[in-house]
Amino acid sequence: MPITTAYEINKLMARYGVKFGLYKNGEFIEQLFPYDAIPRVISNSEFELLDKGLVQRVNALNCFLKDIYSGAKIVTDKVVPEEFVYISKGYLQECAGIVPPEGVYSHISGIDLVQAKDGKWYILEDNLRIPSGASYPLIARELSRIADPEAYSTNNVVDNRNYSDMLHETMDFVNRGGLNVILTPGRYNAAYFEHSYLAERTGALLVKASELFVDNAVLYMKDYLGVKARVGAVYRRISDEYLDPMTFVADSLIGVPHIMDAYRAGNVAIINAPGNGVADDKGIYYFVPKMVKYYLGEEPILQNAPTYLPYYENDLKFTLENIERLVIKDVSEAGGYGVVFGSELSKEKLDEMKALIIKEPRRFISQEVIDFIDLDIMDENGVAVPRKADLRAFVLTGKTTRVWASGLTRFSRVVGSFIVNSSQGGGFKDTWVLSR
Amino acid sequence: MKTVRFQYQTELTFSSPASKHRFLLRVLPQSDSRQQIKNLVWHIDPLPADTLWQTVDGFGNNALAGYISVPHSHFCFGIEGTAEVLNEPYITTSPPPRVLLYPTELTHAHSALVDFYNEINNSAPVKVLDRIQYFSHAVHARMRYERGSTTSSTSAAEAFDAGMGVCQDYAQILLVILRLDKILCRYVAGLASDYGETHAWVEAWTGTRYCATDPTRDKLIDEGYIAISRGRDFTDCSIERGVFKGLCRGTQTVSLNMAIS
Repeated sequence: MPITTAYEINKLMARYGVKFGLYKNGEFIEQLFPYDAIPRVISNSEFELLDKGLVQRVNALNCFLKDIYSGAKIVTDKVVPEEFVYISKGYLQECAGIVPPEGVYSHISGIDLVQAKDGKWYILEDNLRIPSGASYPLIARELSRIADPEAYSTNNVVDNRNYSDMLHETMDFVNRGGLNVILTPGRYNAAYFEHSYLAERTGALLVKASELFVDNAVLYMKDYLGVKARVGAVYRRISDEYLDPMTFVADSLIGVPHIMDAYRAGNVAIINAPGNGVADDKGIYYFVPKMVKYYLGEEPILQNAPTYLPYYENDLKFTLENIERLVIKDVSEAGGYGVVFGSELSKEKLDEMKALIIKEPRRFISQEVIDFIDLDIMDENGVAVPRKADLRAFVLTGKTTRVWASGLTRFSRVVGSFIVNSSQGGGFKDTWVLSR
Repeated sequence: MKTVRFQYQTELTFSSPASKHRFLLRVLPQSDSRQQIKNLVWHIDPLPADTLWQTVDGFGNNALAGYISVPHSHFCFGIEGTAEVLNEPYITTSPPPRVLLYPTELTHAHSALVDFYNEINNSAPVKVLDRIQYFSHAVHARMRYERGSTTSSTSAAEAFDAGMGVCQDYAQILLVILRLDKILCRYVAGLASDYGETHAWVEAWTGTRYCATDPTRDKLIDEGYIAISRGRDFTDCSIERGVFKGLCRGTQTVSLNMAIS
């Protein structure tokens, strides 16, 4: 069957299981991740700037993680206040003193950006734990390429099929001898499609915790015939707290007992490193431009959205006075939850919010609302309509740090809404980077 | 200095056999400036046939890790040895990590604990060493010892609200108070003479060394105490952790003998 329309591509993706799982009221619901066929196009010169800025940022974040878990000089030097580090839920004292293989902490970084109406890019969030989403533009491109091969040969679009090679190289670079595996909690995970797709494309084995075990601080995989083989790198798609019931949440059934022991002994690489959450905490985000200067001695190429920390008295005052036009984010939430626009709150709710910020200033950041650009999407009637869209760029660190010349463009399906998260019903587009 | 002979054992009995049992036992005391551990031997029954190794956890505690695949209805482990122990509550180490100043899930300060701190802080002495003892005494005076009134997952706040608990609760409440007072402090799990089971107390940083105080017994520790593991709270120090397959309930029997000469 020739694929000719966006509708058919969506239908095929449904068949391939390109889905996104959600838990609503304790029930698991799988829904399609709606794909829009009009790509986001990034010019070559624009991508060059993004590339430099993202490499710089991720390198600084890796330096920060290394520092935090081996003495925290940036804290001693008072660049980052210590409470921001140690109160962060993402900080794991269990990782103190561990140097991961090759010194890489964030192997796969998902950096969320938006482009303001004046064309300037701003970083909204760093995701250094388990950023998901690369598989969606990959498979969408694959199917679109079948539908319209000419679109890619005549428009000078950079081929994005190298993501799996980049990921494979990253795994090989940190591998401590043995297999590369992708550890999934199973099919009820929101991103299970991605786990299986990336395993297939990188040649890594897709495994569940029950197939892995640790003996004498070495990680092994046991297959269905009972044959055991050493594992050298684990791209784990389960979060830190469930990773090892001997170290973290004691009743985790999706973790591997003693895997932290194998990791601490340097016998296996865990991708991304446990404890990375301290660096992508919304509170720490404020300090990332300072990290760039502190560790690299460079001026940050890409800017944060203007952010205020109520923790500092001046910022608290500013936040309270300007709350109507700011966006307030709860630093302990993710996935678009805990984000409140001052402009959408009633007088009563604003007062409640202010009281909460005064009571727990460390818990919130406030930001200027970036009026980011709309991109055209095709509505149900085939008419192009504008919707807010962001970009998740994927930055991989192995021997060097490289930006994948593509990315996940997410858009809101609600007119004027800034919430683009897939967990909140958003859709996605392919991202074309032009080769000239 | 006194010589302390110690013998400790925990036996878990399962109502029906457990299998595929992976465990971590933080039962190996280490020498420090206050205690010199000698002739330490450990035992595990059933002894894992093929998988057993010694490891160090994220807090520097020594531990035994292992795997028993076969079904077993009891699991027993223990240590014995001697220790040369100084009759003083001080431990000299390198300065503690700053994280020891911050709350954990079990040592979170809720408003009643903050109020309690403010109340006792009014008449607290000035010197840090005096403050540590003063706060330890205040916790002791406020709480009632009641075996079985709390569990291993009871937080300091919950135990404080109930007004009763065991050594773990006393220690965790004191940690909250000390941390509110900006004193670096850690939880200690170990053995204490005449206690009958594993005990818990607190080491608080004076600026140059740790001072160990026992809020349950309202005293600074003496030669009757042997520290086994240390961390931010009970969770970091739990003697035994394990996962196994089986539909069973467990009962636990602990025996402890200590002789000081």
